[in-house]
Amino acid sequence: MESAIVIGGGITGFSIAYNLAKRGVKTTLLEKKYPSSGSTGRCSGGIRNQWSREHEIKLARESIKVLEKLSAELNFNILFRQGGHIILAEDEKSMNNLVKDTETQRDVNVRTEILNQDQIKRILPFVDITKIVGGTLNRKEGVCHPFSLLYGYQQSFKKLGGKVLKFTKAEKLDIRNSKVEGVKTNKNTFEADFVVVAAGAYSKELLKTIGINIQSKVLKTEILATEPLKFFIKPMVLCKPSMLFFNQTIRGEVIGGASEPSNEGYNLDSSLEFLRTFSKKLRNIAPPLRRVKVLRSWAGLQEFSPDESPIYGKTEIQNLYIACADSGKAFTFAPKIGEYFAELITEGQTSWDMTPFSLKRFEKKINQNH
Amino acid sequence: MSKKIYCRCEDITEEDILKAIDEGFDDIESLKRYSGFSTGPCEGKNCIMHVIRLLSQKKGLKPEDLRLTVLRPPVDPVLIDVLAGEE
Ligand SMILES: Cc1cc2nc3c(=O)[nH]c(=O)nc-3n(C[C@H](O)[C@H](O)[C@H](O)COP(=O)(O)OP(=O)(O)OC[C@H]3O[C@@H](n4cnc5c(N)ncnc54)[C@H](O)[C@@H]3O)c2cc1C
Repeated sequence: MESAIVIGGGITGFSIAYNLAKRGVKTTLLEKKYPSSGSTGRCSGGIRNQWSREHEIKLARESIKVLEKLSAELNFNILFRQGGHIILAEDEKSMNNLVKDTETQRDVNVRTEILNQDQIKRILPFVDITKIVGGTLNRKEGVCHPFSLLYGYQQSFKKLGGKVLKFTKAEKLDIRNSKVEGVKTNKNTFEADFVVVAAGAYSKELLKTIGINIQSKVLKTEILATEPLKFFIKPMVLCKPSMLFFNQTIRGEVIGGASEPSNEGYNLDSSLEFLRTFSKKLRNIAPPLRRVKVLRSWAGLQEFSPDESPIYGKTEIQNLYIACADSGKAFTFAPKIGEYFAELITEGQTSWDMTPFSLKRFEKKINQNH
Repeated sequence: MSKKIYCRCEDITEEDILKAIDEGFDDIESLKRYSGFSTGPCEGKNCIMHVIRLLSQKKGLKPEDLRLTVLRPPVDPVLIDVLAGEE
């Protein structure tokens, strides 16, 4: 029986580990803290299909198909609610870009509607429509509860014989003759036929020790939750260019953020500055929400690759695979990516072209510049 | 059977917590996320000590061996309007 080690207990690691176990690979997942402690447990759970590039739109489309059936497959309610995502354009330029994106989406059978002010007003009556030019809506999109999705995978993974080792940190990759043989942790050394590095923004630290350099920026993103309210926001809402976003969870809390560029680094402190800018932006677009109370705020890391797409696939080291540089999208992609990795690892190739996500795509660029 | 409520905001009982610990959510942060205690309006001020006592007993540790969960600001709920300031 072949064996694998997956490094990282986020959604990417668990989706890959579950799918490997499903294909009969003896799999162990290592997590340096507790599962969900990384970006996965800090994200808003948005499952978005409205991207600009074909390979991302297709991957998201396939992920949604997986999620639609996953509660039944895992026998665990992953709390996936398809309330759609509305993207609101605050200026003409953003509207034009959104319309262009809907055309690319249509080319790969993803139907996104273009909305005028009246239609938006009907869906989001609390929005100050004078601040909005128009918008787009995709009804297949939604929100999946990050903890439920992760716990769902974890439960089935364990039932299939998979091992989860928490508070176990991968410290070194054992490479011999350009082939990975195992992983050294703060506790034990493990041997395995295959190793997948899915350690989120910390992947590049580990990969650096074996000479694989990931060109990416790690940025802090803050987010908050309000008191629970009666259900009144059906879709997830994103505004462009202000990047204000919010949605209402099944528990009634409004979860929101306003991705502001922040300093590079691994700091996870919450700031008053964020609470202020978010509240200003929210009151501006949705004035009635001024009466809502903020309960708590926290922060997570997003790691952006040069083209702002994640890195998924093989490395120059035999049997070593990586899934990192999430670029703020890996929660959406994880359900399908787990299937692709399991296929890639057990069959040596995939039925689907993963080259647009490969690490190699950046090497080529460097060579061209010479 | 009588119920012991541990978290009043989210209506979580002793039984819920024990079940979660048995399922392997046996560190304080995982236990919070799986069971949902400490995620309501009081942000754990009323329940966390009860949970720490129970978890430490189950694990054969002293309560002081377990840490509090990471506290999330603000300490008390604050209105969006107050945070946004003057218009
Ligand atoms: C505020 C915020 C909002 C977001 N909203 C969305 C959204 O709406 N939709 C969306 O698709 N994406 C969103 N994202 C992005 C999304 O959260 C991430 O892309 C996704 O969760 C990444 O999952 P992951 O498993 O790759 O990484 P992580 O969840 O970070 O998991 C990596 C894990 O590896 C562990 N680890 C690290 N180093 C080691 C080591 N050496 N040994 C063992 N374990 C290790 C870490 O502790 C961590 O648990 C958001 C992110 C943030 C911060």
